[in-house]
Amino acid sequence: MRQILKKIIYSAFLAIMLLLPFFSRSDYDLFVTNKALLNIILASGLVFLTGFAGQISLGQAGFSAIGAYTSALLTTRLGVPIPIAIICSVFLSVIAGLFVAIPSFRLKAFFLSLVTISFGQIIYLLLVNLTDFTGGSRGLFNIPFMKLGKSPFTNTLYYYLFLIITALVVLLMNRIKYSYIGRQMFAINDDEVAAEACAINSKRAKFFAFGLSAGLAGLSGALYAHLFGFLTPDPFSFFESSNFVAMAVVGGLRHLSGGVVGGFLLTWLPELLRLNISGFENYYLIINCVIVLLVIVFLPYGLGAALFKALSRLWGEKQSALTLRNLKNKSNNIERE
Amino acid sequence: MVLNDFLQNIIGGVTVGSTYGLIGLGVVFLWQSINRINFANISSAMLTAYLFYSFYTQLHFNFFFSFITSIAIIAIYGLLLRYLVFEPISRHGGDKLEFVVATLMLCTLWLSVIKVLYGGLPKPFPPVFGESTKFVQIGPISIPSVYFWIFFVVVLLIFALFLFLRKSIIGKMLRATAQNREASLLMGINVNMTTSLAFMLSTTIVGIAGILLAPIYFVSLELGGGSIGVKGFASAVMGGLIDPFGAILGGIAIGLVENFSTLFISSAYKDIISFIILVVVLIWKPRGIFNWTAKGD
Amino acid sequence: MIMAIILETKALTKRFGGIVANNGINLSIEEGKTTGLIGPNGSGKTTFINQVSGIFPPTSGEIIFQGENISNKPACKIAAMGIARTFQRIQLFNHLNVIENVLVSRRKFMSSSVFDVALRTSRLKREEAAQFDKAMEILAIFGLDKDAWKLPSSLPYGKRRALEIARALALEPSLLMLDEPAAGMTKEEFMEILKIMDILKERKITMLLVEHTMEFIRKAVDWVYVLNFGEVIAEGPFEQIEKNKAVISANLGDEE
Repeated sequence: MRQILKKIIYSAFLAIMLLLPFFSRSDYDLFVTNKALLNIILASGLVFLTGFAGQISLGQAGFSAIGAYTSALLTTRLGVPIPIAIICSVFLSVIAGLFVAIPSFRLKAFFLSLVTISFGQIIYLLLVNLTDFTGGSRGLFNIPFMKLGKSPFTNTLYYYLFLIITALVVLLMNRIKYSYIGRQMFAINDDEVAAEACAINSKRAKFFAFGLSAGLAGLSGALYAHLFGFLTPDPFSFFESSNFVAMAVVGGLRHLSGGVVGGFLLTWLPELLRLNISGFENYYLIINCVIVLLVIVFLPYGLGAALFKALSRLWGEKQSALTLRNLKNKSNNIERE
Repeated sequence: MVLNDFLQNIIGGVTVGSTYGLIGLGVVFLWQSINRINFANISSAMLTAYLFYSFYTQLHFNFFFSFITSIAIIAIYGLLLRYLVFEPISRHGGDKLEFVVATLMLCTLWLSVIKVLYGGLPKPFPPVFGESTKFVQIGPISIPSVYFWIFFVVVLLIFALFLFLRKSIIGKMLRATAQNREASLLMGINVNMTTSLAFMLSTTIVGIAGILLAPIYFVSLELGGGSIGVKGFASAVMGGLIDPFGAILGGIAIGLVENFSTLFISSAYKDIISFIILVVVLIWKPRGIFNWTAKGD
Repeated sequence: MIMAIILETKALTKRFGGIVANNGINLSIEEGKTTGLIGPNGSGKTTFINQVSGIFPPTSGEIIFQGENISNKPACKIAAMGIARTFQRIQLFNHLNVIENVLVSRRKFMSSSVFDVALRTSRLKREEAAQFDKAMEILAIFGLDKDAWKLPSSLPYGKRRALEIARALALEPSLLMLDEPAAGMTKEEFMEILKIMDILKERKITMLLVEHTMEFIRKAVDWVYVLNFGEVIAEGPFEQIEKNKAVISANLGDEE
């Protein structure tokens, strides 16, 4: 019976996802949801980097910026078709990620965070100051929207596109976690020296982790550029980078749903607060911060992790392995609660 | 480059840099005692400056009262930081990363609170250190008189800290706990007290730095924001995160580089230079410029 | 019978700043035998293992493994070449369960790539299943198969040590180095470790055993090197070493 409950809940979730555009109150709400999906993509990459591989990064907005501005410039200045521009910008973001991986070989935790902060800030400052190239604080205009035939994408079309991409990203993360790659990331996170003694090449693993998370951040940025049609350096500041990390932590660092829950919540929470308390711009930020603080203090493993723990209690499954699916036919030793 | 400019830049760089060093000191104290980095370190600077502004300019209390009360409040804030943030996070299973994110949120929180309470425009720092436009002529160089006061207070503070840490019993207990927590416990040192003390010292020192920086950066959100905060961290890192006095030296180095770089590059790129230097130092000499042996992560 | 030397060090020296942790060590390990490395605390035993396993390179001297100079190779390469080790303080992957810990070592035997993972190819599924079975087999040798789904933190000390050895063995190494495996054990746990040593010897695993406990060494090793202040002061079969004056005067180890 519990299995049926699980199927019902998942189906309901799927139905809501597919029918969301018809439920939303306004086009703006759909736009926010689109931003949320993009943040989910980025946050999932960050959960992989920080939660799984244990590498702290306070500069993800930098990779996002590289993705966004590359795609924007390629399409506006060079007339490159959008899909190719996006692929190029993801490629560039990955390269940037590989470079940032190098300091992580020798530096840990706090020191690494300073390098990533510096990276993010250098990108941001370059965006602001290289006005001929990037339009500076004035911004980059007329970034083409994606088109269906002759007509540009509406928020609804963007929603379905982003939904598919996000679903693919989450699927990819799922497959990675439940494979030897997930295992070696967690191993390096727990004890890098011991992992090396088990023939795990930690340098290559870190390259992979940084590259993947940077690529996802770049993808997120590139899609944002074409969603919004207009780019300024604002969404790529340190504030955003720290917000992304908050998404990962609030969502749940070692859990697949971390990026999804965190990305969704922390995109929508400021919006909901902003709408309720009109006229007091800065109050929403205060409440936002307080709520995040409360979550971190009382649920440091993340909301996503707490949610799934509750859910699995509901349908009577205990997941006792981090990187192995419940292999029912493999072993009769799965613990029951 | 004229000699005058050169000397003026040195004096400016050393003065401002030493306050960066004080902020780095706050970082080092906390790192040494609880092995955590408080990203909201810089908020103490901003909060104390605004508190002082409120007491002195808005409520018209006298200088000493305003100063002492602001410092006292920020010291209590340090204590609250321990019991309302650090302890609960540790108790519920959170580790370094959770603390980092929590303090990042705190930083944003304080920036928003100040913006709500005081508005986003910078306020002028009251002329307690002499009129900000007053200069002192030494030979061909003119130095803002504020600089003297700032430097004087910094030197006094460092001297007081030195005496406290090296000579007093409490200071020695603090250093002992920082070096080896378990052993200190076994020796009967009240580690609980020294931890609270470390928190309070961290916020107080940075708070004083905030008041010292306010004449230059004004009583503004900038004081609690990223660009100065990063310089504080950079100072701490240059000192290898070990020696508080290394942080001061690191800060001075940053102040000097900052001042001299504006001679060659436009000030827009000044911040980029600081970050690049930080990255270079981290990659090339992660144990600090002077190569202290850093305590493990 | 030809005695193959599987590992040899020539004048192996390691300096840390002013301290000479290993000074000109000449040591050779015979294939199929268990070689012991004993000495008081601080004599450089762990430093020696750290150099051989590649955690840091020697200051001077050579490490030759199966005819190849491995002195400056990184740790993961050396592990891939066939040298596995355990650590003085048990270093397990605490967020992975027992079988996942062993599976980390089994990565070496998988040829799948990122693309296999992303597309969930049949190769990946096949290899993951095969390695899972192999890992279970290895756990069974150590009596840990019933604990496969537990986290290391819920295992008693003796089993955690066994798991660490199992994980090292999962690499199918040509040389297994154990750093004080019997440290901190109760009498029962000690017996279990001895049983493990018997199992390993039965399988003709070449071992380097760093130990402190004389009883353990006596029962386990074929040949002993004695280290003091970073230098080899004696070598030979255990009975000879026991009576060696220099060894006795250096006051080595504890009698259990």
